[in-house]
Amino acid sequence: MDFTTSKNDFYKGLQKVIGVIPSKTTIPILENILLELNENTLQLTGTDLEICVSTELKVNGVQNGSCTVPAKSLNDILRELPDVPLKLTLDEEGKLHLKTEKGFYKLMSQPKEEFPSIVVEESEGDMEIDNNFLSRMIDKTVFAVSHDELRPTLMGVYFQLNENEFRCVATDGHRLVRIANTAFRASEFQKSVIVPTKALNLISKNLESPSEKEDSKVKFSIGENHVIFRMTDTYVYSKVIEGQYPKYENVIPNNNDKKLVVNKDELASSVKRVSIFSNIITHQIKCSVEENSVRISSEDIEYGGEGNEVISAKYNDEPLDIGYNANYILDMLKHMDTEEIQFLLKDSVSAAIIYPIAQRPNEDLMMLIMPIRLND
Amino acid sequence: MTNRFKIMTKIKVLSEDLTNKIAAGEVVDRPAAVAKELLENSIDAGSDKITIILKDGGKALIQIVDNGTGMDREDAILSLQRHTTSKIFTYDDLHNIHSLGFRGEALASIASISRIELKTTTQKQTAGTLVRIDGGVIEDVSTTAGVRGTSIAVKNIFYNTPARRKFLKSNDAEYRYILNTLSRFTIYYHQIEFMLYHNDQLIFHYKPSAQSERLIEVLGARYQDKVIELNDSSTFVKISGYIGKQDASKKSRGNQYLYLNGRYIVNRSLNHAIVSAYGTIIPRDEYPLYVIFLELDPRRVDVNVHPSKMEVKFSDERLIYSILRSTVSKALASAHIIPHFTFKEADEAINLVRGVQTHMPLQGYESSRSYDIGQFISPDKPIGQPDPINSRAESQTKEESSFFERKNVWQIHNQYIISEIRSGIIIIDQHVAHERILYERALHNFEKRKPSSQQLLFPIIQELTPEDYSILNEILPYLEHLGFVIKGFGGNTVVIEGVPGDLKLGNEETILAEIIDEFKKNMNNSLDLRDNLAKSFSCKSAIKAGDKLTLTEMNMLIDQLFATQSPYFCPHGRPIIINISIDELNKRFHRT
Ligand SMILES: Nc1ncnc2c1ncn2[C@@H]1O[C@H](COP(=O)(O)OP(=O)(O)O)[C@@H](O)[C@H]1O
Ligand SMILES: [Mg+2]
Repeated sequence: MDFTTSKNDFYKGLQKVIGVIPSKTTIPILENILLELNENTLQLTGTDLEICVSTELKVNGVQNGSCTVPAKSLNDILRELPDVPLKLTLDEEGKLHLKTEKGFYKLMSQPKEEFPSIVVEESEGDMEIDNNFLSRMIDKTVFAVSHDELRPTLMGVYFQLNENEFRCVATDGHRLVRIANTAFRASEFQKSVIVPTKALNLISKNLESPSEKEDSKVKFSIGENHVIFRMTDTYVYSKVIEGQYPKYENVIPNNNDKKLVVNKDELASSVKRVSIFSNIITHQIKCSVEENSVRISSEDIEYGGEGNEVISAKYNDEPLDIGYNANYILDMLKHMDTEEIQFLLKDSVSAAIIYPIAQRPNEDLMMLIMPIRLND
Repeated sequence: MTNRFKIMTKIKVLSEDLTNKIAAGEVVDRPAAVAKELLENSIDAGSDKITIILKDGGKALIQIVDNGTGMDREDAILSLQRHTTSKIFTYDDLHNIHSLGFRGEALASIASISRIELKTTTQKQTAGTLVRIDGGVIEDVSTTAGVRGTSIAVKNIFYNTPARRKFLKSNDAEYRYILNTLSRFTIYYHQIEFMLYHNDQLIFHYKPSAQSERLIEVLGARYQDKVIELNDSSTFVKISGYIGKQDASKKSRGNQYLYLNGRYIVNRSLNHAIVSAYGTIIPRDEYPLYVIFLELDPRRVDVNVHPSKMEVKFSDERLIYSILRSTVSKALASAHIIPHFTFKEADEAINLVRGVQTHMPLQGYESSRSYDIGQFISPDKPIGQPDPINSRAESQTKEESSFFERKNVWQIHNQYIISEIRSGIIIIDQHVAHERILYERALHNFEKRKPSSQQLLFPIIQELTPEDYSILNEILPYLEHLGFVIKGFGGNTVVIEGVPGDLKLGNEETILAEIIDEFKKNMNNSLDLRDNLAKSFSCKSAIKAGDKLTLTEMNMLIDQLFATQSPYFCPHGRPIIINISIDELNKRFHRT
């Protein structure tokens, strides 16, 4: 293997895959990244056995070949180099030489044969989604997934391809987000899968990269137990999470008839301040909803701190005192784009539903948060 | 310590009246009791060298050879009769006892249930007396050649009362009882030379030595640097002796010695005074080491409560209780046996005292707005924790620095938290630390109104066995005080609608079943339902070994741990914190 490239090109390519490399693994080869040169195309591949990310970049190929090198060392040296031309060659002893005008480095390498072979399984249906549209769906949901290994099905976003909409759902059992887009239709092909959070984060990262144009599309296909997202020069292949996603529709209330409208930023900054004095573990705040105002308060019984703020609101129903985890509220507000938002409430122990004051065209975004039952 | 006793050479038969005032009772129930009585007599006789010879755990032979005053022929015979004593004469003397023996019944009692060979010589005599007595009947009195002192050999204890002989335990067990008894004397009488032979083997030979040396000789070298000296003669009760550091405590009551005027005594109330001074620095199921000598005007105490003379009655027990307790806690505090948990953070140290949390960063506040930012809680100062003056100074520096978080905190093996403190390092077991926090909070919550409860989006339906269901019913009111909302669902099925706000996400599904299981396991040994529930709950909902913690989480855990009543031990008695001092590290790296 022998090729030349520039530090910036090489480093950018590496950034697209490096995120998949497991930080802790019992299989050392997984700490390596696979380099494969074919003519003027260099393919970089990394995997943690669940997810595989691979990207292609243009280089000046001299001699075809392949090897795997420790991703961390490669990343570290590239990061420290200025944008200079690089020459990479693999010697007979299996060391990868990295030459710059001034420097010369050798990286230990292992042959491609040691690396797990990635068989990209045949998948049904090939769909195309707008780049920013997928990016938005992921961004709006991924924050609400569970990180708890005891409930694996909640550790990913539920992708639902329905006849007349594409839906993403995430929940950790205390809150839930549902976003649907009706512009995307899978009229011929309907399927639902749970996509692991890590894969989604990798996709998001790639979608943000400058090589992805505003109007480019992601090819997206679903197999028996995997999904593939193909972007301009990168694909992310991931196993899906097995198991039954909870029947979330059943727990979304439809009789929340008390309507509260507040300014999003005002609420967020009040909650942020007041929560400084909430219990450091439960982050519990109390929202006292009254006619045209919400009082947000907190009290840290253990350490004696207290916080109080009143913001104006639109509300004219019976007063309610509702407890919430401030972090859940803040997370949700961060992912709302309208200036005002609307809460639909029922009582102080039932789920609250939150909508942006106006939906985007073809979109339906809903968030739900379970309250904390306050002491009697 | 001086062994104060009156030497009275003439043995008097106690008057009828006096005899009645001394409650009769069995003195001798096992070989160890014989050894005790004989030793007391030898010590009362002013001996400075005592040899104990045992065969078969004392069942075949208990012989004590001393170099004390000895007895003349007449006294030797009298001593073996009931209620003969040379130590008190009148009822008033009974209230002014300086000797170990005074009841005049021990030798007679022993004589009646064994074969005794008594050989005794006084200083005045050149020849000694030999008395053989068999089941209380004098067989033979003769003159022998002798050196000053007395030798009493008690053979075949209970040979004539087979029923009682049957109650004796194995030779080994009886031997251990004797060892135990001997240690009470050998620790205290450090100027006396003691030798013990068992089945012709020399077991120990203690030469006269300083109190502190004798103590270690008897207890074992591993207690070398593990005791703190006590000394207080500022009140009417003079207190001296030694108490163990926390690593000298034991799972059994073994090393606890309390003496009153040279007599080993057993007193629950004073024991409590000592143990409670340790508070929570040792686990509940461990017993601190103590060897404490009380000296008190004999008139303020009644030792004649029981024939064994081990129980005493004080006229001012409550006063002595509090004096003793405060002396012990002062000694513990001044010895710094609790490390100063002062964390080193670059140049600034942060004290882990209650109230640290109130010094929260105030950034983000505009001065024109006024908020109630809560009262400063002044740190109360538990034993051994940093000086309040210090901590005040440090909190001021902290207020100036707008943000702090201990950075020198590390998690290893996803199981232990290590941190640097001024005096060295501490290692915290994350699971038991969290258990302690949750346990105390649970107990606290039982007393309070119901806490808040995180409602679940997907209520958890659980089917229980009838047994578990009935347990659940019993503990339900308390579970509600922990933050659970549980409703019946018909039959043995329940629905969990809400869980404690700080429960780790994902634990909801299994927690109830686990609590019930743990509760069942503890049901037999824990009587208090709440305590059991608090333990079961804390054990099952605490973070586990293997859970990865962020820096913030570790800091939170440490802060909360040190805000508990008992940060050193978990509710089950396992240690939470191990402290390794720089001194110890230096020692182990041979940097002296
Ligand atoms: N080892 C001894 N040396 C000298 N005198 C002894 C010894 N053992 C017993 N005596 C005498 O025998 C008496 C009776 O002993 P004992 O029955 O134990 O009664 P007490 O010790 O209560 O007086 C003692 O008062 C003491 O005078
Ligand atoms: Mg006696």
